[in-house]
Amino acid sequence: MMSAETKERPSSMEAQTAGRLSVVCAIAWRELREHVMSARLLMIVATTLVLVVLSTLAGIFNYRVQAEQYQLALARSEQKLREAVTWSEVQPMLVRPVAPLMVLNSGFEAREGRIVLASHSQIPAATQDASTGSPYLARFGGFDVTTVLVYLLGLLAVLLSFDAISGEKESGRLALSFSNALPRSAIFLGKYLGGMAALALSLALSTATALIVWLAGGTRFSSVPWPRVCLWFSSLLLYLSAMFLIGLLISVLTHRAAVSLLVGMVTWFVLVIFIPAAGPSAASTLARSPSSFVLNNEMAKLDRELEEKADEMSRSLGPPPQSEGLTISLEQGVRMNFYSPETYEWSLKYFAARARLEREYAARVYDTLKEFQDRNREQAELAFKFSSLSPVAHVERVSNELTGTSRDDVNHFLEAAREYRQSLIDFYDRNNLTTSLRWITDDPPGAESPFPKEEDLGKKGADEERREELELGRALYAQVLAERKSGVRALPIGDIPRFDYAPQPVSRALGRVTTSIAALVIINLFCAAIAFIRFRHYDVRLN
Amino acid sequence: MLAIYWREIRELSRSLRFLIALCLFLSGMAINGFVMGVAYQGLSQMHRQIEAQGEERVRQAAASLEQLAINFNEVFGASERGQALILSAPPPKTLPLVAGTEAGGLHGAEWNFPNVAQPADLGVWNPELPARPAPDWEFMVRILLSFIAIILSYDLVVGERERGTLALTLASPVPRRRVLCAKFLAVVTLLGCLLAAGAVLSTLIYLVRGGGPLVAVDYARMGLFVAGAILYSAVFVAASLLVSSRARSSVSSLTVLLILWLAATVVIPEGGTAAVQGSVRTVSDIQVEQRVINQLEGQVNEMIGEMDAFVRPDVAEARKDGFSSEQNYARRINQMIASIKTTLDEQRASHRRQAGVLQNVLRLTPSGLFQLGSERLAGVGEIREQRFLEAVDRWSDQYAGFIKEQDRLDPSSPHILYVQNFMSQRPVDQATVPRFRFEEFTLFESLKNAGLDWLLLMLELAVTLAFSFIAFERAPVSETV
Repeated sequence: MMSAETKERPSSMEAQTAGRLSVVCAIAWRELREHVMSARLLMIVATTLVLVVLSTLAGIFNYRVQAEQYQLALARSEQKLREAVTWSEVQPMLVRPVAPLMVLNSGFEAREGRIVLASHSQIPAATQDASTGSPYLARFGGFDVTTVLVYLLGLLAVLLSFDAISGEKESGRLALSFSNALPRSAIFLGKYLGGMAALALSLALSTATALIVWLAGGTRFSSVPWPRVCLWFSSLLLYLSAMFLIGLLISVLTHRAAVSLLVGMVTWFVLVIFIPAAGPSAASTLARSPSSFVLNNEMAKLDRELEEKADEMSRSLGPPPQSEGLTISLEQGVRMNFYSPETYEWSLKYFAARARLEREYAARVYDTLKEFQDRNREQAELAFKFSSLSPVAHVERVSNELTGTSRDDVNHFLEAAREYRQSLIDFYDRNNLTTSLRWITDDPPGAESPFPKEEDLGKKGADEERREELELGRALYAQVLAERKSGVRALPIGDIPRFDYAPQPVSRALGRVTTSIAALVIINLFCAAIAFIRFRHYDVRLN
Repeated sequence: MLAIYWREIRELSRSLRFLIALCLFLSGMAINGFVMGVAYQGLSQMHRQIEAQGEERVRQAAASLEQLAINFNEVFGASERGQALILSAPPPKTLPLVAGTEAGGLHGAEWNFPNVAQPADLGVWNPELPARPAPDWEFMVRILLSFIAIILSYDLVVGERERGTLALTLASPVPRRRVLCAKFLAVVTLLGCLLAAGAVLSTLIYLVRGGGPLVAVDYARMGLFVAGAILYSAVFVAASLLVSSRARSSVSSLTVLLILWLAATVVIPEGGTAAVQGSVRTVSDIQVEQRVINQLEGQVNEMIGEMDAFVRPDVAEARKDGFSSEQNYARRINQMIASIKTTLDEQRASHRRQAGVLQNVLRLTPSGLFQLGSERLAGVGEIREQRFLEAVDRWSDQYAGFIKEQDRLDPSSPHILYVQNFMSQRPVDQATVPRFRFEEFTLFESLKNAGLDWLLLMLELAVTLAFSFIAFERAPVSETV
């Protein structure tokens, strides 16, 4: 009995929903056709395509520059490791790989540097080579494919929806639709679906253009991270849907197309241009960010303190035994040659103690930097809160994260670099490198100084001696250089830990932006709900 | 004609859109006042700190000529405590006007005497923030006021035609061009009032929030800027009248105008930047680093290998062979300095080349002309950076001349410049040491720099206005169905 009853009702409901569905489809199809033929869509899409091509080309160019820097840095890193002759010089240069999707969304990718040094004397807190580029271009920011789409297709979304209801009312078509007993919900849904189909087509066309330009520029099809591209595309679609519904809401709230257009344009301007620009400004007024001069002064102070402590320590070790030799102390590490065993013994004590001191200071420098960074981060969070009224702020964040060009990706790299540095220090300690002779010299162990001792001097004339000594020095150095070249003096660098870095996986990126995605969905639902409620009671009579 | 003028002003100033425009523009300008006041305060504080630090270091180094010569150097410094001197230009007082690159930090240089002066990072900008244009007057006018100009005037003709009042307006015994003139002037007047109100508001907030005391020259710059801004927005009003005269409906008029606006303010400037970025290459930082490292490594290896260039601890002993090895040392170091300098100059030149191409692309649109014109009028941005670096170079020469002269005057000195222990050790009266000073552009220089851009903008306005007059003369009076 029960089953018979339940069977009967659904069939009529099915018929009803099927009928309603066909109405929705018909309306959507009509809307889509009209939109696609409209002059405004054609004009905006044409402009968008031109800009997409230009910004993709610029993106490809920037990507090439970055990739070239990456390759140069990698080569330099390997060269440095090969050329190191003492363990104190082994300070691997870690290089952040380029996110290929920076072609579509430049984000922070080109603004952040790529290089970090892993050494006992510093903890990676920021990349070292944050590029300044041409200072004149810097303020134009990243005008990338995403920005073009957010600006122009966002405008298109409003332009397609502002007169969907108020305009049809003016032309009398809405009254006609209502008089045909079409359910209002079907009309509403049909209009939404039709508009979104037109927007999705425009977006797909633009994205396809960007991808074609990109692939034509020499990128292999298989090397494009397709899941990320698809997610990025969906997030843009979600944003466009929000903008479309905002336009629809305006259309329902007004009664004349000219007024809806005016309100729609002002809204677009406020959401897309004004709020995103005003948010960071307001934040920078309320929360001051520290100046780099103050930071540099702090760093210099810590540096001086370290040197003073090192001096003190060297004095406590007593005067170093004098012997002739050669010391090269470039920016990192030290390399000594030709000294007597006594001098080496003293230097070893000094440099081992200095290494301990440097580690201690590395932690202090890191804390200072961290404090500054935290203040900057707070300010950035505040700026985001201010601009979160606009869907643009959300879509920007989501898009940065999905294309792997966000700050989080840089932080992920720095985190990996810090872990690597720890493993490097563990490696030093496990093999007692800081206290071994190879920490400071590549002279064979136990070698006597080749130069005559102080007490043996004075038998010949001073000039003669000087000349002989010089010649001996030249010959010895040439020999050392030859030995280094042939690899006799090479360090076993194959033993040091490897830096295996994998960029942040897309699942983690998604997890970081759930709130922004939720915000976009909420804007969608909110506007749709209010617009629909108002639409149910919309007065179609002309006044 | 006056009647039409006053009628338009009355109607527009009471309209909702004017109210919205007023709110948007004034809030933008208020934000500008706050942001720039705080920024100016922070920047001038930093500048004072830098100056005080420099003064203190010069005072300490004046203990001997040698210290003055080698203490401001950390690249090839013979002194272990050597540290580059930081130089900076004060923040421009007209910061709210055009902040350019100046809102983010001071123009500064790390002065490694006598080696090289490199642009220094003296920023207060936050790398965590997304890249956005500074909210200066220039931005407010270029983007917001031009938008408002369109919003106010898009239906001046077509709107009247839709309502049917155009025939009425034209029925009065006033020539058509006067009618258009009245409408044009009415909107421009309103925009001027809006701008003036915003400027006053922003200046007041700026001064209250710690912006530098403004003097007559600054006010003159502000006045000239406002005049230029009215000129710029008038171009958009003229374009609106042109489109409005020919459009079928006010909706299509606004749509077309918006797309034109977008092209003029966003599409061409940004697309042009992208195109320039893609076609004019610059020398990247890592390339510079690589070149410098390669050059240095070669030279250092050669120096060690030859073993003919070192500084002996005993001056008396060195005197015996006429300081031959110290002379070699100084010569080699100077060679290294010269090669680094060439590499850095090459990079700077490549940046300047790219900027030059970009400026010419920007000049294609009124917004680009306005941007460049205001930047040059305020004397900020790229030309200020250039002027600053030139001033540093000039001062370096002056300072080097001073060191050389003082060293020559000391008969006991071995005269090997910039080598520790081989220079004059006499104390120097610190008052005689030349100090770095940055001179801003004078108003006359600024006008000369900006002249071309403003002239081109005027030309654009004249052409647009002429077209709009022609279009209005031929405009249909009533809607044709």
